[in-house]
Amino acid sequence: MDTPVATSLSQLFTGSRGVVAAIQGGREMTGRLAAMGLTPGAEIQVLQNLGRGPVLAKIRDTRIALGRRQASLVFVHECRSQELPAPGRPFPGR
Amino acid sequence: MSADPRSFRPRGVPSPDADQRPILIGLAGQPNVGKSTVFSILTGLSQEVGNWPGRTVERREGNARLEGRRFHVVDLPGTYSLTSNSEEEHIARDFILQERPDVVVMIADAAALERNLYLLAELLLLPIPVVLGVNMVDVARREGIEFDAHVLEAALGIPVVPMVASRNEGVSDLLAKAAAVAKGEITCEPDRPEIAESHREVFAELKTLMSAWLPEGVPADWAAIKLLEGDRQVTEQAESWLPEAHWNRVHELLLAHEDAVLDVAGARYEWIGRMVRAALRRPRLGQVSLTDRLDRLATHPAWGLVLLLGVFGAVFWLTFSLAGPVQTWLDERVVSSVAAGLERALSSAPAWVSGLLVDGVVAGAGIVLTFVPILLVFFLALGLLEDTGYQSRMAYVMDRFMHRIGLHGKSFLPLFLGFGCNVPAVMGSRVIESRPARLLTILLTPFVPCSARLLVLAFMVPLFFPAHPTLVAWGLVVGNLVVIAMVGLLLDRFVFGRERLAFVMEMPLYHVPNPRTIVLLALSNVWMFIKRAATVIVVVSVVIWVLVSFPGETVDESWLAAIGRTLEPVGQFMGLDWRLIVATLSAFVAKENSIAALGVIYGADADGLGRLLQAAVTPASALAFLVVNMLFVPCVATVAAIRQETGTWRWTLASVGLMLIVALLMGTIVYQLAAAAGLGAAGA
Repeated sequence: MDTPVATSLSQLFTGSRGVVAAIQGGREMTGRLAAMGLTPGAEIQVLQNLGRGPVLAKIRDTRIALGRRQASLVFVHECRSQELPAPGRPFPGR
Repeated sequence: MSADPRSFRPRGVPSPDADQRPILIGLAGQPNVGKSTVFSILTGLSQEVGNWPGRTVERREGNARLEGRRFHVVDLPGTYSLTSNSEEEHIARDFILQERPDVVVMIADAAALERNLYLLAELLLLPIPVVLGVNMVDVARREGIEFDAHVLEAALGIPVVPMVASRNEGVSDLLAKAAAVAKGEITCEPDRPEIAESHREVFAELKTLMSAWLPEGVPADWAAIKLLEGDRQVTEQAESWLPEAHWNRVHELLLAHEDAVLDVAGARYEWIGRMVRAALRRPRLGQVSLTDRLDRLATHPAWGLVLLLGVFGAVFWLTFSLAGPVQTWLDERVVSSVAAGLERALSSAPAWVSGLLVDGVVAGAGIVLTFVPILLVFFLALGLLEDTGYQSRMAYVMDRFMHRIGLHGKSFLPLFLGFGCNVPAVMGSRVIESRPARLLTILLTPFVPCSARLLVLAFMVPLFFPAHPTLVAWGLVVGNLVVIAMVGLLLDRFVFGRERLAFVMEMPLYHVPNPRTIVLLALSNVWMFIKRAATVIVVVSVVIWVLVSFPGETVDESWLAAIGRTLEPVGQFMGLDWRLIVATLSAFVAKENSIAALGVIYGADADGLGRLLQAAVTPASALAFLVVNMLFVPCVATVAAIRQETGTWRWTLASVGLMLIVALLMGTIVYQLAAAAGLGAAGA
């Protein structure tokens, strides 16, 4: 499930883009998020992440606010511009 | 049922069977798609509000007419899907499966068509034909999204109607298509999503296992998909439908395929992608839309908060400065003159008859009436915030604060409004979708000191604490807020515990509000309050009148005084004698009554009362009295509103009980502390 480059949504900076890799959490939560457009394979863009409080993201033309805990259960393959190494971007531990 | 033997009739010809059964339409759609605008255009003033049987969710329905055809439209709750995660989703699909509408009309948002079609993918599995109305094409165009209805129609195999409901464009076309489908003039052969390859075999086996045992009207495809999605209701029902051997096998399959839920969802989006591929044109990447630009301000950590406080202030100000004078006018002119007229008309009747009618019934009805302007203005403001899309931004900005006491971002507006009046505050909690969060908000709201309670505070504090009135008053209010936060923390921890739902909320695009929708919704909300709360309020008003007026001549000899004296041993802990207890009890009708009641008991007017109280009551007792009055006895109108919003007496009584306990506890603590600090002597 956790491919090495999948980052938790709560760790992504405002403005980053990517593709949803995996969603953890119960079946109920997964189902709810799926109905709102959040499924693995969907493109996602982080509209706002202030480092605390909810995260605002755009998926399938929908702006969704996710509580911090929920955001930490969504994993994203971040798409960075090919050449730019994007220094200083933190990755979750491990 | 939907099989209608009546033959084809050209449109426009008045139908001879006009008095026969109207076409039953279920109006479905995800939240924030302008469904209530469509509903209000279709049904206008004919709409009726009730509750879904056995549920706390409102059921709105009404009648429509087009070219001589009659329609009965039922507004289904807005849901993202039809899995039984929430009460709303249950209701929507039970309606379709059990009440069997002739046609389901689904409204979709053109600006988020893909996500909206997820619901369509679920609806198409049910045995009722669907007509799709794609709404807000103007908003979508502004965001750079274009779609072609004909292409989408060809792909989906069902009628597709482009609409701008806020300008009444496409609504009658939608109704005409719905009628044609219901009458069999248009046959739908929809393209349905198929399950992903990896689960096709399991799906087929589940279907075979169940097919012979499903009750009539439950499609096997649908039941099998729902099982794979882990739908609680269908899983429970399947256990009762199937013979044990079959169920065991089903259970085994489900355990082995727990991951199916994402596969089912993935297959739906894959199908959606195919459906819209040719019909949808999206904006260039990086195009900044109006919503994005507005959100830069509205969701900004600092400016967003400033804007929000400004908007809250405006709502508060509008509600109370616009409605306040009307309220006073109604109270002084209408209610008083009705009371005076009635008193004159009953001058020859026995005193108790006129007392009962004037001081009991008319006074109670007057309370109901005087709440109308406040509620109307409040619901208009709330409707405006919701219809423009700003409301979810407020919730987003406030969530990081409210979250800490287990509340939802949307809980802030009701709580804030509670300072003016608890009644609209309790009713405002309906904007919170998750029931645990809504209940928690409803339980906390009556603890917010409303303006009537602040009035009592403003009267009493200067009498007893002439040296530091502002400090004491602020101390009491701040203490009250701390109590709210603590009660919130405790309830969240021990009552709602893990039940609290996650914060996941859509932020719709901004759009120009539709005045008609807002006004109709506000009117129907106010009417609901009158209908449901009036009885409770009038009955309580009469009961209190009886308790005060009998058996003796004066309050001293009344039953209420007797109750006060009985409660005196409890009151002692808080330094309250029977007079202060009676004043507290009489505040049940309306909070400001406690002062009036003290006046009656001490037989004095407002000025004289001050001096008498100073002499008879110690500052410690006064402090405890204020604490108890701020925390306890939600006024009867608030209780009626709580009953209406929670839908049960159980939660209503729980709320009153909770307040009683907290008030007694805090009253005792404050009195004991104050007495220990030397405030226990009169005239300090």
